[in-house]
Amino acid sequence: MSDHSDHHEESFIRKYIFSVDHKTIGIQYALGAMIFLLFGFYLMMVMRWSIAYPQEPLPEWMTWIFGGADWRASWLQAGKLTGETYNMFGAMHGTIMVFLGVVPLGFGAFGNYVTPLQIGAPDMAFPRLNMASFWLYLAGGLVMCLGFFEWFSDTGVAKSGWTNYPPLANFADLEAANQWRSGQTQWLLGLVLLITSSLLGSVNVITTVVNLRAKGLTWMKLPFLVWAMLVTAFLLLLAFPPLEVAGIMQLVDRTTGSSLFSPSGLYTKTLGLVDVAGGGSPLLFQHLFWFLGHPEVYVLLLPAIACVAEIIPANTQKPLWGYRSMVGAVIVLGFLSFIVWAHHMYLTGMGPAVSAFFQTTTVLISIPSVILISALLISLWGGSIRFTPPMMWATAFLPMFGIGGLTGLPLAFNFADLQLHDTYYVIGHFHYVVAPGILFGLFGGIHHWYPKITGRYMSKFLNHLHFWPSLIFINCLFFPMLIQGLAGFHRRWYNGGEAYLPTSDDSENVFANLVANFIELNEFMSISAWLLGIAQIPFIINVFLSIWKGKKVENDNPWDCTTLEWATPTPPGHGNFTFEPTIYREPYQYEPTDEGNIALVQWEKDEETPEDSKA
Amino acid sequence: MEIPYLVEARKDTGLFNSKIAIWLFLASEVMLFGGLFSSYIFLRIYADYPWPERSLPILPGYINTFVLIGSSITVVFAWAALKLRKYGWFQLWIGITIACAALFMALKGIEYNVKFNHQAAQHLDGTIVEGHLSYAKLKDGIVKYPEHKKAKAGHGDSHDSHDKAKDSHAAPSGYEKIPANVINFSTNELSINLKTYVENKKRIKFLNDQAAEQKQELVSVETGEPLTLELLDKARKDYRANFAHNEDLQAKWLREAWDKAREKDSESPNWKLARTLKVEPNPADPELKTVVNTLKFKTKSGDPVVFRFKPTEVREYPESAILKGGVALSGKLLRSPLILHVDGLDFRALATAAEALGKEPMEEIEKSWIIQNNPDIAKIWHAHLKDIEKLTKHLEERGQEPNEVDLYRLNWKEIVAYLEGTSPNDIKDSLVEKFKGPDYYKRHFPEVTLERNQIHFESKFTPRWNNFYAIYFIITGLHGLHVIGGAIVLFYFGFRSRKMYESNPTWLTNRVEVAGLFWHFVDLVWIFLFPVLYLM
Repeated sequence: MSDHSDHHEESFIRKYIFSVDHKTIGIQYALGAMIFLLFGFYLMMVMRWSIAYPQEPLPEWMTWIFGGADWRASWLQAGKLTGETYNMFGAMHGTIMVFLGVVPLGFGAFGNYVTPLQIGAPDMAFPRLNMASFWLYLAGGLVMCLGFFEWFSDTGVAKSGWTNYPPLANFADLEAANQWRSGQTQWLLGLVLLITSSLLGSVNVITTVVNLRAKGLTWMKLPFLVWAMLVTAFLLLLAFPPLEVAGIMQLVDRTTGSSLFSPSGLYTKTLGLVDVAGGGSPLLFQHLFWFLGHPEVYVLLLPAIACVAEIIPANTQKPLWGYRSMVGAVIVLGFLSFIVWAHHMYLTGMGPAVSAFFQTTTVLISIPSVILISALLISLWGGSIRFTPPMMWATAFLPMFGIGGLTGLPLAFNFADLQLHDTYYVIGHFHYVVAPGILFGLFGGIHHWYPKITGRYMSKFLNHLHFWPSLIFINCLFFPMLIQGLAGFHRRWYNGGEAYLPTSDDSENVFANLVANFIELNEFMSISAWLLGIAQIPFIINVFLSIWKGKKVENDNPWDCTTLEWATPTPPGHGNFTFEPTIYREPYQYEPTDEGNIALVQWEKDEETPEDSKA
Repeated sequence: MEIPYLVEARKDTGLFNSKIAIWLFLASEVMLFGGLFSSYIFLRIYADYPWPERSLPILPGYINTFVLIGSSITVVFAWAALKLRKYGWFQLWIGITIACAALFMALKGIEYNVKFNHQAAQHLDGTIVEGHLSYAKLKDGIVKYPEHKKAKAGHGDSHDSHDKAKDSHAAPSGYEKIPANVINFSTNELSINLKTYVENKKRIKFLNDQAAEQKQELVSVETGEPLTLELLDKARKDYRANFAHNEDLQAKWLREAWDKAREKDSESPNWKLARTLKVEPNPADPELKTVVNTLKFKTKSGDPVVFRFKPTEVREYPESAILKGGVALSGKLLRSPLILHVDGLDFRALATAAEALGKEPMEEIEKSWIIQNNPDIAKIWHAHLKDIEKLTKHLEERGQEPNEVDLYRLNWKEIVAYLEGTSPNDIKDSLVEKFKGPDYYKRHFPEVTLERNQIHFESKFTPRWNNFYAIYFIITGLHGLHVIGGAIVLFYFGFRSRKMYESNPTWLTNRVEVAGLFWHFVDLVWIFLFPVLYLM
């Protein structure tokens, strides 16, 4: 694998585990993230059982996680999921998917593997910080999940939602004698580690992009992915610290009995009149959380859009439409994402003036988003589209992300959000963005760069087995959520709304009858979710089997791309390039000929530079 | 393979890698401390209690400001020395910088330590009393033992503490040892809820410490076995095993019930079926094991034993007490007063509450428990009122009026002066007192005994006391961590760098430059912190 490495042999541990090579770290991020994604998916499947069949014990295969009988008994009640366990799973599903799954896959894996290659750098600017970043991420993730293990926890995992809102989160598990053995406190510790990890990662990516660009690679010649990663890194760098503040403050509240987030005179069922000084503000936490929380959405999204933006020109064999406007849009998006956060908080009663401000900015931010998605859509126009596996995911991304984006518009408006807040409509909206949107884009990215990473293609057949069921079942899973949400189904019903059903057949309770009309969708959605789970099996097989059995690539640039990562040997060795790369062109240039379009790669000099690349 | 621009700057950006990185890092740090300062503003604006303005000792903060500014200068000298390739001078300047950091942290440590030993309590009527906990009172009435000194001395004599503690509900007088700020509870019965009892040996240790030492072993009522950690572990294991067995059994029955129901009626939706289903299994089934939720213990002799807890660890009721972690005691709550040597009185909360009810604040203060029941405090308050009259007249001439702090808050100098019958202006604090607050060996303070049921809220001056102290400890604590972290890095660059200096001095200079930038940032944070927390 390392025929191009220029010097000494490294030990196995240095090379594959504590590696400082950005490519190995990228792969580590990808594997770690995918394991977490799988685990988060599993938690969701268990929750979906409780929603569909609240009175029925979990099937055996769902209970393996609990291990021994006595540990299991503290999570389940007569084999059924308790409300508390559902809350824990819900909180950890969100946490894992966002912080430990999608961000590390998008920014950690693609940012690490692809960015230095695309700018012609031998490695990241700080390889050892890069390694530290990965291991801090892993440590943070594991600390957050400690509560699943009997050895480390008395009270299970965090259970106050992935947003960890106080005062609920301040007092959850507070009766536990040892706070360090409570999942709620461990979650905060894990969070601090994760933020440190993302700080190191983002500093590294920005420095690399600013200082390690190859000769001739000016800003407007950067591939779109590099721009997207740069903006993402700035979001992580500047948006995460306020959440760290919130995490530290909550940690202090939990461990020293302070009341930064507890109002005066708070009364809870387990603690009675809470013995704290009071005078704190739960709203402060929400502001600090969403100051990160909204930019975080774009941290999730931009790497996925970037992958799609790389896949589409390669598979249409024509330039990316509106590269410059896309770059502009992504920068504007980055700025605007810092001033929209309170649209998550309309229900807190901030007053009409503040609400109006955040409505305006929220509607404004849809403009750059629409520019991005339109540019990608128009890029398809007139192209000779090859439906390769990455292209299938990229084309599916466009409408799916479109649904996700458009369903968000009603939520941007205060008056509509008051009705829809905390219903399944919100769940449906952001899952459309994240699952069939962002994850499809990232699946495309995996298929796209897999040949560079391993030297072999992923199997087309297994991809069909993965893609089509995923596309169908993911819609079967999330579309009914929009319907249920409009009917008023609350997102935190652990029994799927069973408690709200009419008590008799001739009940006149309007809401109860409404719930009865839509509750059967629960079963349909849950079955879709489990089938969606099964549909991921071909992908897992594909990723591992193709390392040995996949079709070998014909050359170093199998997709006919124009960007610099395809100039490296396959797979790239230590130090990446066998020559000193120099950039002569803008990315995504193709020349029409009689035998189809020919890629004009960025690293080759051409005497007759096409006119449109002068700028 | 070599990473470019590690040492030399890239031409078009004009920067070497780590310089970009440190500026980015500092941007992130700005957001971190920006978030903290914003939180401070938010908490202060929305505070529904009197914000403790200017309550921190200014002198150490003032000195620290100059110490840090000085160290920012010396770190630049160190960098300049390295630029001139004067390694000895470089090490000297770095050494001075680290010494400044150490001095800064030492002063910070003193400041923290004073807070951790300073007690405050709010009476139910809103009066806030601040002071030092008293452990003992000597015959001549002079208070001698601040708490932290006494706590060390108190350890050895646990042998006779039982008898003394038993008597502690008697009024404090003479040579009596009164454990301060603990809750005393006398019981001969103790029950441990195995469901919520968390395996935490530290938490249950009080039994061994206190009960066993007092030769009053607690004996399980049913079995006659004395209470040991092993017994508890065993009981807990049995409980969990039996509970799990029953749960599994019930899950099995429920599954069977569902299978049958589905066979009978495959048409009805799940939720309708659930209603016809008998989901409650038979509790009398012989296969089910008995699950004992609670273990009960009683003393062998039947005599009550006194247990003591920190107030934050227990929820107390007149006839019972519940500890964190599921241990319950039933018995009698003993008198556990908080005895304070008062060095601060604050009636602001009381006054605000009175004003809200349309009453005259001064009249309400006059009626407050502490002035009605403590002649010393009454004397101090009345002396204070006379001074206020003078102050009001004085201010009226200038068209001003006294503010809330003037009116309703008494600091330690006022208390000492009024008790002695002198003027607060005559009380001169010594240098040590400027750092550590009043000297409890020298000064004489009034003593106040607050009964537990009169206390609305009490705490040391820790984050728990109020949000000002919480945010103060968080911001200064994080800043302190930055100082320590920066000092460690500077130490590494200064005293572990001989090799690098000889092989690549430019690289080392770059490193020191970058560390110096960070050091300046840490200094800058303090320059904001000092006025915001100490002066405003």
